[in-house]
Amino acid sequence: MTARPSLTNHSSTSKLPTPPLSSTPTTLISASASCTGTHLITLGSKSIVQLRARLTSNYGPISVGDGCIISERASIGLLSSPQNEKEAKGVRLSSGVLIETCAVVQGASIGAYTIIEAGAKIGKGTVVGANSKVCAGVEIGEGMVVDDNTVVYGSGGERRKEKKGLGLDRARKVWVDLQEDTLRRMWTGK
Amino acid sequence: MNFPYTYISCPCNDVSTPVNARIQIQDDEEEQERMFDPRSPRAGFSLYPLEHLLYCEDCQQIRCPRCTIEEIVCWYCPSCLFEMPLSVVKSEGPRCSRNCFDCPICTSPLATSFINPDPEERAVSEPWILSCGYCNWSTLDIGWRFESNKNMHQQMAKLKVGGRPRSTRVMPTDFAKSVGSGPPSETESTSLSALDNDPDAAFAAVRSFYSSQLSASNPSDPLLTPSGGYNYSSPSSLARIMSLYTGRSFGKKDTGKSTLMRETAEIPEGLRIVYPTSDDEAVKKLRTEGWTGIASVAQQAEQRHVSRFVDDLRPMGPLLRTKRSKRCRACRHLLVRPEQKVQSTRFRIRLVALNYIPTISLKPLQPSPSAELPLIDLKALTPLRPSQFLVTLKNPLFDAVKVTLATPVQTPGKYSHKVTVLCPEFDIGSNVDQWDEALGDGKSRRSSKLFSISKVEYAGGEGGRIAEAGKVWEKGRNWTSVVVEVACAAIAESEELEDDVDVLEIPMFVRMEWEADLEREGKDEAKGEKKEKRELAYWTVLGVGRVGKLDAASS
Repeated sequence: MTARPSLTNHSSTSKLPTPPLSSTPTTLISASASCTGTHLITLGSKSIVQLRARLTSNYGPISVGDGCIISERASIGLLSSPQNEKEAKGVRLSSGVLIETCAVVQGASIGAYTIIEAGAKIGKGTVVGANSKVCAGVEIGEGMVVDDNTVVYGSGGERRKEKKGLGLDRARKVWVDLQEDTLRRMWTGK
Repeated sequence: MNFPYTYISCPCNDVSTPVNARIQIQDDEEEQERMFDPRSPRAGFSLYPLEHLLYCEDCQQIRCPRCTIEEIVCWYCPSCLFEMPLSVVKSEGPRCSRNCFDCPICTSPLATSFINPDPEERAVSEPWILSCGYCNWSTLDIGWRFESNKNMHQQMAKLKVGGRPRSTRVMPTDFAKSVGSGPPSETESTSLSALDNDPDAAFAAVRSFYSSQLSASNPSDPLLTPSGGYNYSSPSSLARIMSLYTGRSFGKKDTGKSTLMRETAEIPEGLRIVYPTSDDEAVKKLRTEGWTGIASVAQQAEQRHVSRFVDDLRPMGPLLRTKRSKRCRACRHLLVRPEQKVQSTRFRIRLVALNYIPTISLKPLQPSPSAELPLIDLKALTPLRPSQFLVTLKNPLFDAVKVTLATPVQTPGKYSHKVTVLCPEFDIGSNVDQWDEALGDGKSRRSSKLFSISKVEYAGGEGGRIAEAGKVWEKGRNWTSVVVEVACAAIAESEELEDDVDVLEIPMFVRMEWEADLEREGKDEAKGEKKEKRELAYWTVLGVGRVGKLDAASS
């Protein structure tokens, strides 16, 4: 049985430059998660940063909305210097965004209740709309735009626009909220 | 292309040579004893990696995928791993007829789920849907909801795209009169669209019409079965077919007067008329929905009927997979037989060539640093200078093997590279257990001199060891290394090369002899002999590397 990861409100990394971090008391950050860089990192309320997740603000700020989940070994933030103004604004995650294991997000903004699945890569300056889904392993190049309610799937990055009014509109919100509640109960015991 | 590589030529390629070509080849054989050219177009169909080859113990020959026959052992669904009887496959087609479905968008398996993901409301929500966990497509996209999560196929048969139940067709009987007079009326177009939306019904209508026409025109036609199909298995049917090709002179002459068949004239008979305005709706949809609304070629290929748009795609049962056994084409003995049980990945019989013929590996023998020679780079071999390579053969058999290697003095192709095997004849020890060897009488032990060669010498020749003609480089329990010397031809830098012309491929003839222990194989009862001399010969191709261009190499 593995021990429950210890919690802290600040980054555990000491060697790398510690960025200015803005978080709320309800934000959970794993002790083994790393927040590095020089730009501001903002974490919204009820957001969870899991084990060995990396938030890198060396080249631009990071803004994580309320109720977001950043899973194990996910990487958020620009990994190279920005080429234009859009990229220089950094990475902004809206509320309820779920970033799954090993995903790499360098995109400009991710809309609310969007799921970035395991191993997916979002290139610099890419805008992903709300209530969308980037399926596992999909790579979206730099500067692309993914509309709201779109599923990006397959090796070629095919897109499927989801229909509205089918009774599944709230499905992603419910799913992310459920995961967030479960993780919070696991970590805090409340 | 990764270097080095080894391919083995299956001898079945010789059998398929045309007769005229074979006579010519026989003449040439006397001159050059059938050199194998790895660059000939035919060689592309006979060269295989060792892992892809099988071995027939009865023919004592290598067998490639072309000289084996496949037999289906069982059909099963890859999703539910349920074995399908052959009768079900024949009657219902090669798709799973249980509750398994693939997503028509991304081909992932669909799961049966509730509409409402909220656990509190789930208990009260009755309708079921099929949903894809990967691309989030669900049957709600085409308006399908199911009353229960069982018998999905039957429930689907009652639905059509859009979620409306399939209507019973109301066909006008006097439609034949109005054929060609103009666009159909409202009732007629409803009937036409009913047939368009249900291709199975359209096919059944046409089939029943022509069956009745055929039986009416020639009631005693032996080719037709009562259901309207063709009966090729009965002797009378065959006689009838023969009479068609022999100008009615075969067998009994047809004395009856055949009535003329008519074509379909009414919608109930399956008549479909294409009007210029028929495609207007599709064109309009193309304009409004654009590229994303059109089904891709792969998505259309998965469907049973033509589906142009994404909205027309239906979930399909996954295609069944088969477990297959393989037989030798010459003697029909089983080479591979998997276990019947679907869940098992084991094999009852598996005679892979890897267990019968030596594996051949090649690595450059780098010169010692004191020699001040350039290191061998397999991506740019130095031309006009001898390079040495170690060819290692590893014996998988339990008997010691005598091996003879032969290569042409000059490789075939545009550029003739000189090849010399320094030790063409050598022995390889048996593949006995290391403990057996250690505890045995020491007969199979190698000479102490050979064992004393250090690893440093082997890897880089740092000890200043020079390869000698007629002597093996190194020898182990069941492997032997010999040196092959290659002098690459010069390729000028200005020369424009075709694809892979500069690749150095050495055709090598391998002949192995050994005495098989019949007692171990359980064949000694027949003749009373304990040993049998066996022989196997085949061509291999060693892909060494690319030859560097002359100027670049010298600089």
